[in-house]
Amino acid sequence: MDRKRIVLEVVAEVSGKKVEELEAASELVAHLGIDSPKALQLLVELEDRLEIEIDDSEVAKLATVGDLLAAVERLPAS
Amino acid sequence: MPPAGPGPWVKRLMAVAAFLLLRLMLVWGRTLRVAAVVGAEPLERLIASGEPALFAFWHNRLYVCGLYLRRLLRERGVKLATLASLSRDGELVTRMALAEGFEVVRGSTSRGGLGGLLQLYRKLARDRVSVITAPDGPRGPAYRAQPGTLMLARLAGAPIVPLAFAAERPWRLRSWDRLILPRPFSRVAIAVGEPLAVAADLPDDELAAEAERLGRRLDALVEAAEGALLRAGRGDATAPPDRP
Repeated sequence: MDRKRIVLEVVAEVSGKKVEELEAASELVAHLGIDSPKALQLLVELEDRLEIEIDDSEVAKLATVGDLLAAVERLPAS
Repeated sequence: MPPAGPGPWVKRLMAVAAFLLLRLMLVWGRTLRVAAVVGAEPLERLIASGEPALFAFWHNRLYVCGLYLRRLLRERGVKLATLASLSRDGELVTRMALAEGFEVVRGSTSRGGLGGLLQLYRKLARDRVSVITAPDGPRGPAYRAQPGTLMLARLAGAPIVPLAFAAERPWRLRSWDRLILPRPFSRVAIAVGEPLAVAADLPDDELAAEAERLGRRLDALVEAAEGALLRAGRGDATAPPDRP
């Protein structure tokens, strides 16, 4: 399964939305209700499933689903 | 563009300041008399199990709680990690903590400290290293536990071990948390609580209430430490005198 699909699945699981409802412009907090507890769960799940480590500086910039997809695409598998 | 780091002279000054401050704190700590330690048995059992844990205390009790844990866990070969901010203060704390054998993660406090929490999670769950947290840190309000510690415990499946200390007529700094510094050669008492397990399925909307419960436990431990100190003053200490 490609990374993009996994990211969307994890975002859908954590936010309680369907994958089809997610758009690149969807805001993690405002549109998807991903507050701090959910965001931590989201990042941990992504790191575990994709075997990546998301940098602290990237975490601070994540505002939308598109930001998350771009950040994950930039990372090599660990 | 990332902010420029400190220059070489600032780094050297920080290294010197960290070295001197650490030596001062350790020497100072050796003058303190631990009059009583209450409730340490569950902590001893947890350490013996080899399971990583989150050690939690109010931010203003960092000094003696940190010394106590450092001594106790170092003797048993248990690794400890802590979070330091990306500020210059954080740089100083990092240098001191590293010199004392702590593992340090540097994290921003943006987005609710998410980056720092993620790094602490990696330590706990993947590296199986115990973690020190101050539930009312890094900026307060003092004595109000935030949900971060609970979030970490829930995700990593690690217990929270609350602890506190009391000291005879200590000094209080003018920091946001009114950091508590025992006077040299004074007596202190330490109180350790039962490890607190956080259910993996604890709903998000109950995190704040759980954080409040953790706060009440920390307050109760402060009272327990104060009581133990008073009893020790009357000659009925619950544990033999010791040093941190």
